[in-house]
Amino acid sequence: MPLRTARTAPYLFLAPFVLSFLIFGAYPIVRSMILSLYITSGPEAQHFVGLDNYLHLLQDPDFWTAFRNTATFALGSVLLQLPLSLGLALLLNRADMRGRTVFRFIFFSPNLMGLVFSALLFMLILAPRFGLLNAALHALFGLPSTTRWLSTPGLVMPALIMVALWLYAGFNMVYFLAALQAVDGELYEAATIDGAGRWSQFWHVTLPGIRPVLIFVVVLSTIGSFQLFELAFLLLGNSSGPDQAGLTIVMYLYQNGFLGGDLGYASAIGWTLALMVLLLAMIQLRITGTGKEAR
Amino acid sequence: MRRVVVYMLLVLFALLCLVPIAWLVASAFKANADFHVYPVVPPVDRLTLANFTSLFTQMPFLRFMMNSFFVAGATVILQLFFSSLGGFALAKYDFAGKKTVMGVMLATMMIPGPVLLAPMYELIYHMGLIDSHLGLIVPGMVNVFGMFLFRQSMLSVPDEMLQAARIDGCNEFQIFWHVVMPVSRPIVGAFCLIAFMGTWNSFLWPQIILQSSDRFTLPIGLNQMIGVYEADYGAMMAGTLLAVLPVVVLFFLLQKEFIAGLTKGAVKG
Amino acid sequence: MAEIAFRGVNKIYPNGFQAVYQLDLSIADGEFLVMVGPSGCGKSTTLRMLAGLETISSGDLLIAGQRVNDLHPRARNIAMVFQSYALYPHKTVQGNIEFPLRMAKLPAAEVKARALEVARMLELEPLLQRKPGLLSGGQRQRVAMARALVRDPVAFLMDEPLSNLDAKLRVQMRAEIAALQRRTGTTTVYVTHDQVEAMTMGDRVAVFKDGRLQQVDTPQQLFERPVNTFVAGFIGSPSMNLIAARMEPADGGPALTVAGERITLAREIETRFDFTGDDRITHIGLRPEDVADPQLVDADRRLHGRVALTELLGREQMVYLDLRDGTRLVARLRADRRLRPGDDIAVGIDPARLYLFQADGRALPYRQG
Repeated sequence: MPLRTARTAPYLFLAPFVLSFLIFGAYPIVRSMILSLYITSGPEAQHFVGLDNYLHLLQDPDFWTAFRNTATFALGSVLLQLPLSLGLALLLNRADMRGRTVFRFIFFSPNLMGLVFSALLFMLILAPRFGLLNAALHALFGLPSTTRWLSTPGLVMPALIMVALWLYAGFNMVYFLAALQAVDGELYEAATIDGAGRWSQFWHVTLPGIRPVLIFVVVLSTIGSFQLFELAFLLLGNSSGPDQAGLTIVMYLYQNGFLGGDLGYASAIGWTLALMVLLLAMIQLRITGTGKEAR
Repeated sequence: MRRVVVYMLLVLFALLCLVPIAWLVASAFKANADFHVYPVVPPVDRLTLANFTSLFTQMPFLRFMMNSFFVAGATVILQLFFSSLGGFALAKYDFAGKKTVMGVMLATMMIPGPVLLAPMYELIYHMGLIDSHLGLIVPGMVNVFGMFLFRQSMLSVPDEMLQAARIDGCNEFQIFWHVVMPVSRPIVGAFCLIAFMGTWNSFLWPQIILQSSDRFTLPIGLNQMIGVYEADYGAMMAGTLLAVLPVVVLFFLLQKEFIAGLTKGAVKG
Repeated sequence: MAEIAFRGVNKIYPNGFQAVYQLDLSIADGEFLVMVGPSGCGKSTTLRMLAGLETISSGDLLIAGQRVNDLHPRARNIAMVFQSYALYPHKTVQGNIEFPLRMAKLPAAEVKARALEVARMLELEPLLQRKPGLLSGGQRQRVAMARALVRDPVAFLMDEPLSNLDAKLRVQMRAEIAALQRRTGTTTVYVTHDQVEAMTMGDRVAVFKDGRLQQVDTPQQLFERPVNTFVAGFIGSPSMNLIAARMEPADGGPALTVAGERITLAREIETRFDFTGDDRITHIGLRPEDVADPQLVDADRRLHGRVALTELLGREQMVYLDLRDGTRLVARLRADRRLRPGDDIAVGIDPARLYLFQADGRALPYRQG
């Protein structure tokens, strides 16, 4: 008797999950592929256009603005994020146990605040006249205290990248710290005796040792950065910012699908985004996966 | 690098992390007029609780908070139940189609969320769940990441424990409930925190679905308020501060489990 | 010239624990010195101080006459083989061997040539492109040795390099390491907890206990002239029997009361030891293999006991005897004497094989010659 229930048990256990997955996971994926072949006005009216949405997308200047902005954000964000969180992890790795716990919590606390509420906070921090950032820059470096971070087209991206750094440096640092601690200490000793200096040890022992995590973080950060929406939307006051400097791909999707009602076009944008992200991830994995053999 | 330099740098970054949060706390108690006068911290005698009162009077803040608690609580419980049960099935049983199921789910994890927004909206609309909390909770029941998290953690529960329970007369669900779950408490803690944070801070989907202000969750509600009461900076900060507290408290309680759960998958994979 | 000298070296950790006390030890150029002792005796700490991986709290460490206390490991020109080999997992065997030379910024051609030469010497040529993860334990061990060899250092330091290998491989590698050392003539400091390894490999062996050097001598001297009960019991397998005893002078020579029985020693004992007259003997030592056939000794040099256990070893047997006062004596006797637990037998004591120990554990000083 136990054997019979044991055989049916897994199916029963998975059933609720699989059911909701089919309805809210699998079905939407398929449906969005279909939707992307239509133009809709809200969820009730739709008419078939075939691949027109995609063709239109390729020529849509707003989409390409969104793409440019998003790519800039992703590039800047990942390039700055990586050394920052890795550097913090390296530093923290040299601290003692207690200090490590305290600092780890502090560095992680921005992430605790959450994306949305941090955005609301930074709306004020970046405010021109009474915002904390301008006041601090003015007090420390004598910079003008009226920089309009969120209303100057050229400053919007830097501001977004800055806030993203604040939010996620600690998060990625936790991954790196765990990876660093998994590297065998004896390897460093052997390298010391073999005559390797600090930098050589980093290059020959540390980096190869944390390579899987490094790749993981880079790919994850890239994928995440490409889906930028809430941060930009909220900081720019529910808009795409001056000269659409803060227009991201997902924001464009939102505008078209839920402000404009064209769920079909929104789906097409969604799939284009998915393809881009997939491509990027594959390229990154290719580059780092078959990297040069460490000699 | 010398110890001193290491600590100095760490302290520097710690300050960079904490200062905005400290400013948040200070600003929540700063009178609106003082924002232009004291950009950083007002003198102690000018601290005020006026922001909090205006927060609760100008908008249904308490309502927003209760909505958030309800949605987050229900979502976490449902996700916990489904993901742990599913993860248990994947970890401790062999059955036909297991590989397919796992493969398909892994594949869907690679599809970015935004792709699903439009069809989900359509679906929820046709289900009549627009502008309802169910419209938030029901789609949110699916947490593939969570299921794999539980699977990974439950793999390390010794099979002998399950066999001993079977011999002791437990049926499969009882094994799950009385043996495996208690042992998995750390991962349950970590998962609850992650799931709670995810739902509590969720913006895009509620923004799309919710329309009546008495249904708004905190992120939507606070954001709306900014449009309406533009110059009420103090209330805004007070609201943000209160909105962040539940997560902070939960994190304090579950810190160790959370970090362990986060890193277990990454370092191995 | 690569002599190594520890002069009054101490190692005290920040938490107050002292790992090494007043170490005075000199190692000659080209010597193979083994440091041996139970876990926690300070041998590994000493090795690491020599390598520069641990700081020296006080005292001087000299290599080739130069004080190196504050010298960075890389500048000491020593090579080390770790217990777990510490091979770089992401480099090939070739990459591992070449690494120290690359760090020394030698020209690429020379690096490659020297690495190849050493690889050949250790029969690693077919494995050059493999990563450590795909090698067997013995192969990894040889790569670790190659990495050390390639540097042509002033000294080799080895920290229990064979403890992760199975018994058979260990015996084989022991011989290889010893042969290698003889060939290269490099000073080698070798740490192990296995006294058999120590005795078979070392020119001299340094025995440590609780952070203090007990005795440093050739294996033979350690065996025949241990300076205290610890060394006596540590060296030799199975361990030397240490039995409580009292000595009194008597006509015709000193007499011992051992386990309640009286053993006469006659003057011959005085040719082995330096008696000062003040000595208070508390223990005697007798190796199991030195327990004599009672027929071969006088009646007043016999001990009586009851057999507790016998273990047959082929031509010989190990007999565990309970003496009259309950002390356990281990004897290695010929197997042709049939013994069973419960049998009462006698064994003989040959004064020429006896060791005498005082209350503080020190052996009676040996006469020269």
